[in-house]
Amino acid sequence: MTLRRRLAVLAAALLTAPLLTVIVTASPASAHGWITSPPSRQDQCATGVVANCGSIQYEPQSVEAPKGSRNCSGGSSFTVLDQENKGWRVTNISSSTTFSWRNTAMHRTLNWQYYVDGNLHQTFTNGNAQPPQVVNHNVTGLPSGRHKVLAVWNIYDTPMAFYACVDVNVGGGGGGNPTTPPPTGGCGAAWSASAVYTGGMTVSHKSRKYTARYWTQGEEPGTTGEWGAWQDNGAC
Amino acid sequence: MNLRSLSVVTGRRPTVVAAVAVALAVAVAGLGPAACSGTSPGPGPATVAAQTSAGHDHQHPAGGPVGSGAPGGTIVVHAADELRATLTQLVPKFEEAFPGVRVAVEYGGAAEHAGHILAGAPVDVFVSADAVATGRVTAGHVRGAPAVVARNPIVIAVPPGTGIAGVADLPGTRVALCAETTPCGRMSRTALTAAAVDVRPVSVEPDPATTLARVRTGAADAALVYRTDVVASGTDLRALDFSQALLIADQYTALKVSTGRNTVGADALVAFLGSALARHIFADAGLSPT
Repeated sequence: MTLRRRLAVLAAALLTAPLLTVIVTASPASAHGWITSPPSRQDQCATGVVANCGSIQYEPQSVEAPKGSRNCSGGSSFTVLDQENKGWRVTNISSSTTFSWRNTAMHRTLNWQYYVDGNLHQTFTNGNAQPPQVVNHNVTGLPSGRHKVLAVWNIYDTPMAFYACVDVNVGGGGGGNPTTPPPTGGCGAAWSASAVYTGGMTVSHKSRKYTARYWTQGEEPGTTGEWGAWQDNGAC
Repeated sequence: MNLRSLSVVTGRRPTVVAAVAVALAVAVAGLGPAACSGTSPGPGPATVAAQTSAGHDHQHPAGGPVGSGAPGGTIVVHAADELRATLTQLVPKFEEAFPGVRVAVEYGGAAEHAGHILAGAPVDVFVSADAVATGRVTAGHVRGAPAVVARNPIVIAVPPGTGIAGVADLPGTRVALCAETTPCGRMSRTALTAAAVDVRPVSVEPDPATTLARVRTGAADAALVYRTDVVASGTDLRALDFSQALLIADQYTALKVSTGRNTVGADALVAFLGSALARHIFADAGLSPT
């Protein structure tokens, strides 16, 4: 390569450097899914039920790690989720209970596995398809008493999985499913003032559809301004 | 690249040298922080170049926000030094929400920043707790209403298990204060005067960290410092609010500056600084919700 040619290449590289910088920094971070009902440990961090969780509170969807772990953190950096004495709220459920995932990136799915106190209890599949934003699993035959349920969402086309621990008391009174997501109409799930949404999630509110731009809780769609937390996607 | 290789080419290929020079200028503008030198009265050339080079190319990035006029380009922010820790967390979340946007924050003193803006430097957003500087910018150089995004009150720092429940309990206890030559010391005195509480300090320290250390070591029963100082100390000390301090708390105000060129970006960023997410992250640092 001649000196002139080398300089020309350098010039081209320098010219495009700022553009590349913008593109690279703008690439979205990993954003995927977590269990909102019964509230998982990361959900309790996100909604503020449990304080001092660190950064997981703003990205409950990001508990991603290689497949095969049996830890609540999956072996990710969010080790706060592995702490048993953190004051996790225990939800009273019945032996047959719906577990709800809220997904922000619809990865093709190998399966969802539910472990009770470390033992595989139930596996769900969907034909390796991309799941919708909300996925419900009716977990049945749960043993009575206090248990830690580890749910693992194994991704089909990557070596990664998503982990969520739910602390439950089966048959401990109350039962049922305290925070079943509202029914989904043609408009998508209705916005809930108490729920946490992360970037990319959609809701309906007052016959309009909205997409969350970033973590939000308690901010009513339509009130956050043109460039605020909720992007207006029009009537639905 | 070295100077010798450039000078060799200068004689033969001036066009290549010119291209390299332009490339360097653009690269510096796009990559470096917004320049705002202390003596330059005019607009910062780097920020101007960033607007015209990176900005227009990224108004409509693939996969970015839908719709025309979506935020893009570089948003130039001048912010108070004390906000560095929180803005360092917030800016990546904002940039992730608006692909193609880059936020260039310059941290520094409010008075100096205000001086630059009054001299015409292109700044899109100004965030400061300095009421005087904020007032100078607000008088003629803002778009829209100022938005208070965070507050930092003086608090009573106490150890766990203390018998002190509020400001009325301070007389008769050993209190550590910041020196009155510091903002912490001046604000503490003002708050105590407002609360009509007579405190005889057991020690007066040159900075908040040393003041807090008096409580940790047991040399004092309580200390008056900013709430952010308690959080930053990383100790198990508790921060007790009192109403007289909350009333006069430092208010961090975000202004959309009219000298800036990225008006849509400024609108989006100021909305973001007032969002639930920003309130949470400010609160994590001890900056109470507005």
